[in-house]
Amino acid sequence: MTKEPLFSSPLVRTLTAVVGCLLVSVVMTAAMPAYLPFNQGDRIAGPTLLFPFVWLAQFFYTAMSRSIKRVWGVLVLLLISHGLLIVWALRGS
Amino acid sequence: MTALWIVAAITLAVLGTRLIAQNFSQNTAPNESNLFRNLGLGLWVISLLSTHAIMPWAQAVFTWLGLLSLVGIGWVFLHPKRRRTE
Amino acid sequence: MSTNQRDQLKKYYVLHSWVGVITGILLFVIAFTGAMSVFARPDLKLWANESLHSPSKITPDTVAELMHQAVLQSDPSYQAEVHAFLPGPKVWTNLVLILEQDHDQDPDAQALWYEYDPRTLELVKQWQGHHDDLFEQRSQDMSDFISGFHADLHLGRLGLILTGLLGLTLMASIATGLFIHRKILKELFTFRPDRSLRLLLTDTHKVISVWGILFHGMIGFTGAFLGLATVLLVPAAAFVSFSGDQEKLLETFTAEVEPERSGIHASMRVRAVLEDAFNTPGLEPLRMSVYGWGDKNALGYVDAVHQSAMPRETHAYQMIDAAPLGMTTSFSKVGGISGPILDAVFPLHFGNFGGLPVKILWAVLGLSTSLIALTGMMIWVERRAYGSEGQLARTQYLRLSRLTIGACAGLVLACCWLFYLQRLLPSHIDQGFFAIWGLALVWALLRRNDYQTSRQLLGASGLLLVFLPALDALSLEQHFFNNPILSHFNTMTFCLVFIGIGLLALAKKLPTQRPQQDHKTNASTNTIDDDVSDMDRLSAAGDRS
Repeated sequence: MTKEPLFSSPLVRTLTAVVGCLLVSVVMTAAMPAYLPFNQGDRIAGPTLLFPFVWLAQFFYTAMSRSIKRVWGVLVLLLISHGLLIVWALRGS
Repeated sequence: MTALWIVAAITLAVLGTRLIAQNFSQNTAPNESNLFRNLGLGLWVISLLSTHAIMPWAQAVFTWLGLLSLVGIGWVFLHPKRRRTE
Repeated sequence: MSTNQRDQLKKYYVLHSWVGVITGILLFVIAFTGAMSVFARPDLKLWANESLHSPSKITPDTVAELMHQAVLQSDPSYQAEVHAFLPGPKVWTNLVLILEQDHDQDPDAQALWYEYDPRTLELVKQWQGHHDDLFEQRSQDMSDFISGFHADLHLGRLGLILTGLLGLTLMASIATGLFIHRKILKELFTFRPDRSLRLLLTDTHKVISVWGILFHGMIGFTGAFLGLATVLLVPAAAFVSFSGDQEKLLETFTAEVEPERSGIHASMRVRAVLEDAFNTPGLEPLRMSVYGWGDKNALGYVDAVHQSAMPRETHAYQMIDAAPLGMTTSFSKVGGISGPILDAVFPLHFGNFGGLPVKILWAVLGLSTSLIALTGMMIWVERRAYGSEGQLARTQYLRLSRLTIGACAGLVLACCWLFYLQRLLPSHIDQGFFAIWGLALVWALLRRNDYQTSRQLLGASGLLLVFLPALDALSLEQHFFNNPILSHFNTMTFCLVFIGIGLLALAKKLPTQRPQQDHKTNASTNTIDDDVSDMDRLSAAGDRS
């Protein structure tokens, strides 16, 4: 029986952790003011302060998850949902 | 006066660290260890209050946490554990 | 421990070591220069500029007169914004007046720059040009160089992104470190310097990391925020809420708002406003700005630091009668929970909220962050070059070790050399700094024995510091040797600190070669000897499985 490697798809995983997480976190920071239920200041400044933690959570998920496909699924879902929220918010304004 | 409060805060932080360090020593029974730990924590709190005597709470908490980090590092480096203890 | 748990731990360990080794040298560079930047303003600026050692003629009267004079001799279109940067070790060494055209309306708006020597009030520089080129006019000294290098490595936006990302990876390293070190409380008090080199390194790494965890975490978070704020976070925040208009976002939340012009002329009571700010107990004014100069509705703002407050304060005035309109902090208009946090980010990162004692504390803790990076790199190399983890030839790992020593000890040498550059070649600070750093790096790469190299580079740094007061004596009128009490307090303190640190660096006997009493790394030894860290055990367990 061959031993499963500790990290599957290391190259894709590294690229996702370096580029993908940053991209998704920035898009989330841009979109979060559209749905956060705070006052105007907190709604806009809050996501910028949360950014390091949002990135950290995604980075760990990308690194630690067994399946890179699942990682991609979650990141793409976050990207699309927040992208749509941005479009919706911009149209509304 | 400020200098006195600074000296008090540092001294109390050192003494508190010294007592808490006892908690990790093999030479003390568990009950004694707890006593040392609680006394040490008490001294840390008074050290925080001394820091607050010279600056507002927000600044005092951050300053005291920084001070405690430095005192801890200094204490451990100056009192190395040369033998294994358990 | 189940296989699953062990695999998880091993993943965290691999993540910790690889994130660490990739960012280690850069983290040392940023942390070391950060520890120096804590003193950049006012202390290093005061040391670097002799003009600040003499009495200044800056008073509310003289500043007001010069502002009125500058406005009178310029075209009325330059009265949209009039700024006076008061000279001092916290801003610039000379009094700088800036008059701007309305850059909100006109992208080609021009600006005027008048610079006066605070000792004589003589005009020493005058410039007119595009609004965007304004801040390139300021002269740079070593304190600006080192704080700028810490912020963006002098690489502009790319540098800001790099330092911001480094803050994020520091947070990731701290989190992974916490996951893999299960016995964190025990590690608070465990330091065994006499057992083996690897144990000395791992215990040092862990003691500094665990005791200072809140500081390192705070530095990582605030560093990530400060690095990425202007390049990523503010544009992202403005994207939805202000349709991408960053100017509008900043106008909404910053303390200074422009007045509605009435078109009715009025005289500006600059002197009365400055007097009020100068006479407020504990307040140190840094800048005064007037928006809508000459208009009845003109507003004035005095940007200042208060000795008992954490964030910077902005005091607003009605310019027609110098009536105070209240005080705001940089982000008090944001309000909620975010406002106070944003206000605290900058002072917390640089430790400028509690005077010199806090600065000393922050600088030493900053040095401890750089030591974590250095010991982490050394552990990584040790485990691979002399342990069981490496897959490459030992020489490859030793090459990385030489690079680390050259970059890190070379940076220390270059930072000490920076003081000489300030006195001898003040207009070539950046070239001189990078030349010495580069030479140290090449020297380290060419040498075989890194222990000897680090000894030599740190010894040279110590020598530079010890002789620095002598250089002061040769280049300054008033210095430690001819006027120890009356010479500027700052210079005297610096002399003593330089001699102290220099002697310490020279007296510290670093080993000339790698200690040979390395512990055995076989599994049976590991189980009976608590020498071996959690990481070693994990690694050994992984190898056995």
